[in-house]
Amino acid sequence: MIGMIVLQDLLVPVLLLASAWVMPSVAKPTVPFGVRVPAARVDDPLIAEQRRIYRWWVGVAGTALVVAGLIAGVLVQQVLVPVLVAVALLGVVTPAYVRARAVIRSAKQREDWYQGLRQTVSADTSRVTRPPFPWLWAVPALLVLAATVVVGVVRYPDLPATLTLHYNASGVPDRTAAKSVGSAFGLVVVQAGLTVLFFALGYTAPRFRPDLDPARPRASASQHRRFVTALPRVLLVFGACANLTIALAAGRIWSAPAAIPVVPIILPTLVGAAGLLVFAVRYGQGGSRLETAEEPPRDAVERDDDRFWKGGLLYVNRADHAVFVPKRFGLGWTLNFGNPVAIGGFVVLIAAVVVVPLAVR
Amino acid sequence: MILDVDLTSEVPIYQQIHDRVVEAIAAGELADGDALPSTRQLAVDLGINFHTVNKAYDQLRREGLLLITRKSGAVVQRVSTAGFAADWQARLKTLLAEAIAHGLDEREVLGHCETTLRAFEEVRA
Repeated sequence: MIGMIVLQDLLVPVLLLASAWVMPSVAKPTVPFGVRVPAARVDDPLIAEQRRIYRWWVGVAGTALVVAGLIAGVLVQQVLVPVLVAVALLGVVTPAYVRARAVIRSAKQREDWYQGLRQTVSADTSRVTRPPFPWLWAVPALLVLAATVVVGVVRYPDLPATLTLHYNASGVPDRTAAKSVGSAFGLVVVQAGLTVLFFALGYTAPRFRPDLDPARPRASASQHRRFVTALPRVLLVFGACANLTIALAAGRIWSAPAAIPVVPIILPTLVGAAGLLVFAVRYGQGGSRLETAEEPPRDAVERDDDRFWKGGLLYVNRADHAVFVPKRFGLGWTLNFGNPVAIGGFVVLIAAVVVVPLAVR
Repeated sequence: MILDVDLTSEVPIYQQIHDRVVEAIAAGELADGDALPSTRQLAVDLGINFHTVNKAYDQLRREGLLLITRKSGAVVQRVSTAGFAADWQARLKTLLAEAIAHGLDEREVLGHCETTLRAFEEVRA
């Protein structure tokens, strides 16, 4: 039992801590801590030092926090402990990020790093042909979904008149409902919605803007191509993992055991999340960590677009028609909050996140 | 093809897009039948207004280098247009006049022309 609690309290915080710790390596080298710097400054000792300080602080303070959370978890056996640790981790990472960012930014301004450089944007016109959608990789997610539906339909006639819809995190039933198609298949609807979401992400991601480096445009275009070829596959596999978690949760409703541990149910999703982290470290943002052929040097540098990035995290540019732009500190894309379509989509998404759980309830 | 736009340059962006496409065609990087991204896609990739891309594409279309259809988008398609030679000669005259006005040597000017033409040929080969 202690072992189970340890696992339950450790998995999520450790995964979060690991993600925060590797993030400076996943981000593009030319945007350390969300500050755009010319390629020639990438190996500047000042930036290397900020990276080191960030890793030390996040590593030491974060580990201390996770261990403290673990001890607290074993002592009080409160299910909220991992959640509190996750929130506190944000409090450890944020100051480290803000500090590193401020130091790099002030050095960039003081020494005028962009003085006299040719700020250029490059586009790869061959992006007109996109990698084909990896249908084979979609099979696991679809199979899990189909299997869940089949099992549900087969079991439905034999289900008891009252279904236990929810267990609290220690595995004790805390919500029940009368048997109906809605109460029995609510989770399957969520599963189908999630599958659609991962398909849509995998389909659209290759269309989003790449962040090509004009100093080595061919190499970075090839990195980006490999990145957007692999990303849909990774997303679809993660989707299969998430579907498996929901299938297990649905199976619990249909088999109505007295109590069941939480860990085996969330395990597939956590394994999927760990897989995402491995992908992030191997590929880097936009494939920036992939090996490429050498390219003859050019005198062009990336455009200094810091003024559009609030805090290095939030992109607001009215003149930019892009809805999705590559993230600076992290993997993938973020919204352009200067674009009405992006703002509208964001509002709809938030509304869906709030409304759907209420509707399923 | 990699299309560069220098944002610190004095040359207007639409002109730069136009010039890079023409150069890529001359060097054989773009051949007849090659597709270019839609105006919207290229504008998003470059982070610029799509009217700017439209202006460049429209100029290329009028010059008989680009075919723009509703169905297949922008495709490189070279057709000879009447009056191109006269127009080009007028612009070349200005360029050569600039060289002379700035005191460049005649042989030097011819040498530059030679090297540039050879460079296009080399990339093509």
